[in-house]
Amino acid sequence: MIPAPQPAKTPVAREGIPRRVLVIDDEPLIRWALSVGLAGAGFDTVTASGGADARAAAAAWPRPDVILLDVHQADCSQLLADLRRAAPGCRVLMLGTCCDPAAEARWQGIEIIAKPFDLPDVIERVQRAANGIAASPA
Amino acid sequence: MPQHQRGGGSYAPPADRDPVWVRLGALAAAAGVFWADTATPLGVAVPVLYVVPVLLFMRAGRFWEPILAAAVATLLIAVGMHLSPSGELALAKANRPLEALAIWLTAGLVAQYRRTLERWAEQFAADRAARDHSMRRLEEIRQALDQAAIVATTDQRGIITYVNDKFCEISGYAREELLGQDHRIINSGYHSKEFIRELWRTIAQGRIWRGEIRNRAKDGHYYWVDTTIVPFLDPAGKPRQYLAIRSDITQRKAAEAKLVEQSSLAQLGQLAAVVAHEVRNPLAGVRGTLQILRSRLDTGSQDRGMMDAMIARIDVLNTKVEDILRFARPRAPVPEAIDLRAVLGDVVHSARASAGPGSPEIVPPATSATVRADREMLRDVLLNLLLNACQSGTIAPVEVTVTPGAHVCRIEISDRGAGIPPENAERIFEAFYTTKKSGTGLGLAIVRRLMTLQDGTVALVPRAGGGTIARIELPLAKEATAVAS
Repeated sequence: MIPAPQPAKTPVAREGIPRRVLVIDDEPLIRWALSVGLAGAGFDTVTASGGADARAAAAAWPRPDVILLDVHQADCSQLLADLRRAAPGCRVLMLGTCCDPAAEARWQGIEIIAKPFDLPDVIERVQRAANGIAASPA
Repeated sequence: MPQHQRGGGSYAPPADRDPVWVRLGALAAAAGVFWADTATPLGVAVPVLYVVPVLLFMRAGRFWEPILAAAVATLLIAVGMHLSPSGELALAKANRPLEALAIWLTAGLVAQYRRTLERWAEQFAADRAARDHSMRRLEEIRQALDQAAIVATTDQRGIITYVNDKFCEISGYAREELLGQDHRIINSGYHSKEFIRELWRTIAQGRIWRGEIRNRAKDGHYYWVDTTIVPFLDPAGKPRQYLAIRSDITQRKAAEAKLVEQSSLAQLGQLAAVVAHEVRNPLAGVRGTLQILRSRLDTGSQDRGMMDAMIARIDVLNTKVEDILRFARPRAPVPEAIDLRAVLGDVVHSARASAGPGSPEIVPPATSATVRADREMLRDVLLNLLLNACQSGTIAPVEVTVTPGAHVCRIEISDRGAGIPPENAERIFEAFYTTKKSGTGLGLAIVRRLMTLQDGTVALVPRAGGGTIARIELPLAKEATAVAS
């Protein structure tokens, strides 16, 4: 189901430096599972539980290549704008429970990963995002 | 005679028949008495015969005519006394005033009698005019009531004694079918025994009952009536008959029910979204964590199987949350023209795969049509109904038919299962109502919700020869409608 931690696959590293993924979610188990899972796939992961941590992590060097952002973060639109400003060029994937289609419709154009997710599926999507390939519709 | 007495039937005094003849007779009688009085020397008691004309006048003319007759008779007595042959006895002369007195007394009595008769006649005419007026007004009110309301009367036991046209129209029964029955004939079984008891308690005590009642027409459809039952009491104060005045409020009740449903669905939708979020968020963490932990176990470890089972349970739980969301917070439909042949072929294939071996064969429809629906919703609906039919408990084939009409297309999925008991037929589409041991009781509720969203209908009806027909109706796509018409 989930790959055991193993050396990074080719697409993940760029000039020998692993791609960095920032995981922002207030649920500790989600942060842990995603960071461990993505690390196992060769990514360099950082996590944040809230807006302040997330802004700091996005501004730190190296900048994240992919951000996984929980749509239920407080003031999510502002946070998203700040993150994009702090880490220009990064790819954003959102994590949502898909319980409120109307509320999630405003993230049009951004890929939303439905919770509860399947870890290998998330890793695959993150890999695609990191390589700049648009994900096919789920 | 007052004009209104003419032709007044049995109450008219007999004097009306020929007053002229009677007056002439009275005049002749008076002349005869006068002649006898003047011609007969010994006619001492003759003038008392003037009573005859006075009595005759009782039969004719106004109440004062006997008085006039008495005055004339008195004058004639005086003249007669003067003209009568001399030698009349002194006693006879003395009798004359007594005779006049007798005539006046008679005249007085007769006048009084006539006066009383006239008053009675006037009173009677006035009463009858008032009664006619009241009857006319009553008739007008009855006509207006019959136009406006559903009216029935029953005796004190509730046996129907009268129904108006509107009652027959709304109930679908002929008048002869209703008269002599009690209201159980239109009882829908909707109201509790306590409700009916309270109604009867109220009217049996002579008080007016008001309320809203759901009735059942002859063809089985239900209608709501706003009802007022007025008891009419006998002199002992016991109800003698009941008058029920009803108005049709079916549409209002339907609109109210729809509003309530929409409002409660909206609330349920909000609640479901919040609860689903609160459930799915931690589920995501637990599922992801389990996947990590599982990956760290040896391939042959027994604990891996346990973790797989845990992940499977989480997925089942998530499916149930998904069901609740689909029912309580469905997305807006995206209607399009859909060829039923393709969708049904796909759904039948899925149903066969899901139902597994040993389940009934599915006979696809021979005809097709193009309907206007949301593809995904229609697929959900058809798959749900097909799987229900496959799980109906027999191996007899499940038949699918498509019947395009003028504006709607009917799709029927017919099984030969145990059927639905009539007492469940109403509730089967309610959310969380289930007759199965497992399941959320949302399957048919979702089906109805999705059909309503697509401007369609769904019903489960008994099948002749046993089993159930799941019948859905959807609007035909415009192009198809144009071709059909």
